[in-house]
Amino acid sequence: MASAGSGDEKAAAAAMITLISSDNEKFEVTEATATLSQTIRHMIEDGCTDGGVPLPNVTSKILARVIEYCKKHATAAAGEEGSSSSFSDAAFLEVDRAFLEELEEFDDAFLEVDRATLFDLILAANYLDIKGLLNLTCQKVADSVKGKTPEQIREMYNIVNDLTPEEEAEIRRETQWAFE
Amino acid sequence: MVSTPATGSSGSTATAEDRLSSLPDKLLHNIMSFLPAWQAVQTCVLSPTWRNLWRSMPCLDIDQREFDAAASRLEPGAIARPGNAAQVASCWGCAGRGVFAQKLRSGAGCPVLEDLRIERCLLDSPEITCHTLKRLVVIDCGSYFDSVLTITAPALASFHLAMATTGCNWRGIIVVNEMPSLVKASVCSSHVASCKLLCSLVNVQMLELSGSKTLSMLHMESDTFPTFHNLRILLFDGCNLNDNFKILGCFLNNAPTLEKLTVHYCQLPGHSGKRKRTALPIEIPAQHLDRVTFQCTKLKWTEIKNKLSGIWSNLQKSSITVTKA
Repeated sequence: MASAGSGDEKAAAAAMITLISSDNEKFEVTEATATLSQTIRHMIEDGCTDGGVPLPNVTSKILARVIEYCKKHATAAAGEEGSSSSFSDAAFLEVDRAFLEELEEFDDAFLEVDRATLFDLILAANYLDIKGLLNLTCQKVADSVKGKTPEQIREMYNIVNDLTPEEEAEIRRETQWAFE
Repeated sequence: MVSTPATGSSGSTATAEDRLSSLPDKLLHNIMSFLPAWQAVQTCVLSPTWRNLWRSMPCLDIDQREFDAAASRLEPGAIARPGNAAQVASCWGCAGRGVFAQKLRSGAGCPVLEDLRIERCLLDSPEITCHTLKRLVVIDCGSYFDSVLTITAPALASFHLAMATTGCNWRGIIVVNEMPSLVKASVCSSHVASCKLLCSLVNVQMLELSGSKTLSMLHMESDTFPTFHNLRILLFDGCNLNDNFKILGCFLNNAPTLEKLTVHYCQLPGHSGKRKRTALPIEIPAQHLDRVTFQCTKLKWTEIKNKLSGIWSNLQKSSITVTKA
């Protein structure tokens, strides 16, 4: 398929990185997958990944999900690079479109998780600095509150309102334009 | 980096833990950025944690279409209070009168504002002043009266001005105070391009001019044509250059560091004027072009995208003599 860069891809595929979750589970991933995380990318650049990368902030359950995401999206990134060399080819564009749709479906399915897992994923994406995953998960939270009243949002997310009624009235007055 | 364990209670969801509010501000801002502006603001009543969170959002997107017809409800200071750290702000369809937009434009409440996009706003106090601004986009803004829009943004690196849509009656003049760090500017307008405006863009490295009439009034004032000392890339898009090389000449003679010239779908000298812009190859009489000489010592790359063949090869052979000064 893609001629340009395939050598690099092979080289990248050969380099494996071991990620170690907080509960000491080891995950072996390709460098291409691991470097979707800027945090890990920097570690690789600094040459401190020998013997595995300990990730004390991420449990094995969450790390497995994160890796699942990175694998899928790393393939997508490789696909984009490959196809850019033959951008004029309509067939490739067609393949790209199909692939993007597939990726979207993957993301939708990926987000079918309970709320606690969603927050764990947000924190893991933030810690590992995976922009795509962070935006995906943050948007999921935003979508869940879109169009909801503050009362509904408090209830959904167990937010304790310890503003006094006077304070709340004052804040609402200040920002009245946003409530009308 | 956040030191909070990423996985606190991944067990049951039935706990009454408030995972949302305990996220770092940066992540809450990220979540809020996916909400419409009014709803991001509404989060201020959730709890004390949330009270001022919206004020420090790095990105504000205020679209009047979200606010019914309620521009007047956006009182001065409602958004752009001191402490509002917005780095990116965009306004769509906001009336200027007494509105936060005015504060936003004056940069008063946004001490770190870097990106500002104002689209279809009514500017009654026609002034955009912001010393931190790096990128500014002004599109189709109107005014109650014909007036002078003054832009003061000394740190600006990128400037896009488009006032082309009919129905937007900006007949006033646009004055831009000097922008020494300007890298990229594009002006797309039938009305606003003037020598004065060009003079204020004099430090630009990449300049794009589009809109058919943009240039027609320039050569009237060509006595005062500025010298673009830093200009490396120049693009004309859909311009009327059919003036016997006057405008093109002005630019080429006053851009000593120009490296690339691109002409997209412009009317060029020799063009009958009746043809469509993208029509047939234009024949330029070679003897006529022989007389045209520009001093443009660094020009390396010229691109004309009007037609598929003919024109540029003609020009290269005979027309533009690049003279080493």
